[in-house]
Amino acid sequence: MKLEDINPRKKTFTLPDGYFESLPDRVMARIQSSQAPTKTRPLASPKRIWSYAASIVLLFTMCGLMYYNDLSSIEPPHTYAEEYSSDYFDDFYETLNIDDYTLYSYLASSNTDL
Amino acid sequence: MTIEASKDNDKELLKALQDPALQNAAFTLLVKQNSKQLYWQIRRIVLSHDDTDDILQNTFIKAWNNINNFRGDSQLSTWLHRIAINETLTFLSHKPPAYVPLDSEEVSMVEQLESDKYFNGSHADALLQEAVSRLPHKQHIIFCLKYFEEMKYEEISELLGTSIGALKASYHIAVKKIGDYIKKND
Repeated sequence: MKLEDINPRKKTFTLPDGYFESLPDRVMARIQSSQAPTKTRPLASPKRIWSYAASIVLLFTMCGLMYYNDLSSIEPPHTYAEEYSSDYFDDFYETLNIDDYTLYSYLASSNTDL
Repeated sequence: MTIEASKDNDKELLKALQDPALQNAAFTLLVKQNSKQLYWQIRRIVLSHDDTDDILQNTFIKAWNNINNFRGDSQLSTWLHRIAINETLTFLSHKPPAYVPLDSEEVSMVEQLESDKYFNGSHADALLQEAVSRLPHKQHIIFCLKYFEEMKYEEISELLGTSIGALKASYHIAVKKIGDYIKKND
């Protein structure tokens, strides 16, 4: 058998009765079902929006109060100047300026095991 | 303007299709005018009635969704044929390969067609369809448009965006492959 022996115009396929008559309606039905509005849920009712707003205001107020309370309860930084007299610092300064000879004499005179 | 008055006029029909007040009636007319030709073009490629029905409906739905982008550069029917060809190519690319190994217990396409209630061709017709289905997708479409639809190369070129020279070469290779397949499997 050759390709030329087969008639390309021969009707080898059939289709259901009334197919073309019902096609426009079926296509339009599919289009309309794809365009059907989807139910959208409102974000919130006005009553709910007011309660959200009140909660936010309350939250900010509480945070503000807590913040200011914390600030007033903070103690000023500890200053060592109040604890030590100015003589102490003078002695300390003098110790820092000690030379090697004085230090050696001091260590030799005291019975310290080094 | 009435829809009936615009029946043979592409521009009038397009205007009606883009008019919200008229588009449902105009679209129904568009489906009626083009469904038969598109159906047989698709059916000769995909063979099954159910697959053809799906592709044809998808073609019209795509046309509906894009009708406002259609600028009338080509005829409405050419535009629809182009959508149908693209839908068919998409279908073929997702379909499992038609090739069935000789030792496979799967039913061959000839057997499938011969048991299909919507196929009334001979064994030779079924063998031809099996041979055609083994072609690469684009060559498959080119062969069907030329051989079954008897379209001119210029028309196929406009539909597929392929040069006439390339179409001729592809068609002649397809004819050779199909001839060899039929001779071998007869």
